[in-house]
Amino acid sequence: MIKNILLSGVGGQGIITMSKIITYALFKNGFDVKKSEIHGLSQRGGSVTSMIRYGEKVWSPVIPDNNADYVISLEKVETLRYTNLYSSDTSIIINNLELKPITVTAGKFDYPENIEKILSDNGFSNIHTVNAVEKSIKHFNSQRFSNIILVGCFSKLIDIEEKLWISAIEANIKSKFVEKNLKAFEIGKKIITGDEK
Amino acid sequence: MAGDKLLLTGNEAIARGAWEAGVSVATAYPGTPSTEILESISKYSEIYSEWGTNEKVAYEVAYGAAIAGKRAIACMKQVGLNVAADPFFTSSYTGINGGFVLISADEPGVFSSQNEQDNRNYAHAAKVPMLEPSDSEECRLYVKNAFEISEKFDTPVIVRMTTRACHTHSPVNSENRVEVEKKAYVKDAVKRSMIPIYALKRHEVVEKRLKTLSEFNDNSELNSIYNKDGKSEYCIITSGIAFTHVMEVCDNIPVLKLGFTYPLPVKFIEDFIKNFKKIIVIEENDDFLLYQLRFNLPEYSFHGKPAEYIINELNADRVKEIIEFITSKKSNSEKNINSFDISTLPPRPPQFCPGCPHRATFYTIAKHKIPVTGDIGCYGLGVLPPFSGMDTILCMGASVTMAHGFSLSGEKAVGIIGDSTFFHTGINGLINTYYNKGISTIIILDNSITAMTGGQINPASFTSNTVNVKIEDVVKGIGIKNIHILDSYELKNIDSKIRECVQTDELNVIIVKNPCVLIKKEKNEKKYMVNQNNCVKCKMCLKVGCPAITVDNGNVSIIEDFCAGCGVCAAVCPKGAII
Repeated sequence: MIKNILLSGVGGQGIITMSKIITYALFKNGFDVKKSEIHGLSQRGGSVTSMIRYGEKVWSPVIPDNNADYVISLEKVETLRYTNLYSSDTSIIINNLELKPITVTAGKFDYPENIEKILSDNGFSNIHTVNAVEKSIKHFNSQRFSNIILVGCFSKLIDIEEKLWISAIEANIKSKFVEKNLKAFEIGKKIITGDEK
Repeated sequence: MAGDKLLLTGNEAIARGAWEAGVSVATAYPGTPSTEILESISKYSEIYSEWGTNEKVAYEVAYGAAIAGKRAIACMKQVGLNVAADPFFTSSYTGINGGFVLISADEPGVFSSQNEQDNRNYAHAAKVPMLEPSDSEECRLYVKNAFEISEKFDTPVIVRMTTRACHTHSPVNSENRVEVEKKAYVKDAVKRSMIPIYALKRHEVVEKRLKTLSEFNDNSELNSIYNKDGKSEYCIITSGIAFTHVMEVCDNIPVLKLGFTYPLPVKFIEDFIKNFKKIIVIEENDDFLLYQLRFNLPEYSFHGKPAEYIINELNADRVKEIIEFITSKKSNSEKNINSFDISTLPPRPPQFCPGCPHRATFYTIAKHKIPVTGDIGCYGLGVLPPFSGMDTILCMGASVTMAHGFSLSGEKAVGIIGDSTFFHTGINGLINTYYNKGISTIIILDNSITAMTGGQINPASFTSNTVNVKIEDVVKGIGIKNIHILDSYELKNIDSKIRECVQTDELNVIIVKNPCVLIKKEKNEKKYMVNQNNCVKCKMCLKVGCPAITVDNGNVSIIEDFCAGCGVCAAVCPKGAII
């Protein structure tokens, strides 16, 4: 059985780091894994995705339509951009953050309101909205740890041993930032279990 | 350690394979999706690596190292091989000494390129053998195979990658490096100096070699059959990443996966296909395999994809559609069609980073209402609103040459080019314009790094391992008199200098300088903010297209975390409200 994870957000938000950590944990757990993303021009503040697929044997690096099992979106409107990959069973973690694209600030488009409602109206109702930015600022006085907080949230949705998550963070984060990122990971877990107020 | 299972991208696995294969010299010019190959190779101390000033240069340096006797590799993106095509074609004639492998990385889907060309055609055109890996482990293994084939058959070998092979992480085995002894260099002008009389002789060798390679390929372990026991009147022939999509959707149709795709293993293919009624060919972009198969096995009926599938990358869903179209069988699985229309969503195009030294130039250039010929780099984003600051983007270096061409048709133009692109092929065009007494204004955006591909060095860079080449010295050395050096954040100076230059009937070079914000060591402490009391909501500041500037309920503000303190927004504010 292949499971599929889609990460979406905006270039510069730390999607690649998140995706490396998650993939590493799955790999060390013994799964066959493929992680695929697009580099280059699109990094410059544009929409960015990373696809992770894992299971006994993974062939295609690209998630087929309607096959995402998990979505972690670092920005609200980016959650809506890839709904072709979702199904009614998809678990969607949304970072409660709106970053207005230039097409909105320039007045050409409206930023959609109530994205959770749009999702559930379209049959995607398995949604967890997480105030990762708020928690990151509260604990670290910076937004920078939002991505790892979301990895912590996600870790509660799949069955991977705690020590693999820790080694995945240690292997993919510069050593001087590891401690703070492990703390951010813990905060994320507590958000899902309701222990983080 | 050898034996460890690693999680690598295809690019990292190519580097690993090259290291294991005993490669001594590696070269490249950066270009998505190939860039990380040389970046990864540079971490192995046994391999000398360098960024060439362009792909032709990189190819020839590596090729020279191979002729002199060591194993060498050159890496480039698909359009890079156009630049290196000249040495590439003739090196097919002149053969190798130490093994020589070319990595060509194509971009089905055009994520960060100017076209969607399919470089498999180059293998056929230059009569050079080609391997196509479909995951990271195959990248590692195929590079090693490529060196063996190169030395066995005295030929360069292409390992053809695509974006999804390059940038997908998957598990990889590891082996030790095998040190390969340098081959003796023995003079052989008949083989290596291609004057016409020798070239014709070498062409004979090339044609014979192709035939031998095809026979060798019949027994190659790089081609394999999957779903052998599948009960079907159809079979599939595929290669590369397309193979992985095929396996995703087919478990009962026998599949022939070609890893060694040129020249085809004709006999091996015939043995496989003769028992099937229909043969389906699944490949990304051009119908390369299809044409090769039809030419080599004319008595069989091969079915390719409908024409619209030539465009854009494949995925499992598209492969399923192609198979359903050819077999006229609809699968039972109903698509979960959601009604949500994503065309109503605000697009999020990429933008210049906050603090980008290109911003002020593009803000001002559009106001001059003259033709602007552009070039390849981050500044390609200057094409998009709010700047709409460039009229053409063709290929590396074409800004300089096309601006000259424009003036010959009576349209005085400005060409815009970056530092790395200037050294790549801009320099040739500038010499051409000068010696032909051309008139145009060339703006060189010097941020002292190859930025779009993630910050690789070039002659304009400052590092301890390389020597900095000053662009102004090069331009002066050509003989050009009108050289103007400006600070990239001084918007008003840039504006007036462009105005002044385009009014003259001379060749002008404006060098606009400041390091890329992503490499700048000293970050600007200054953070700008909008004084709401003075802001008249004219939104002029939005025209600088900065991701740090946002609008909430009509009020403009600057996101402090994003602001890089460059001050371009403050310079355009007519009320001095940005402080």
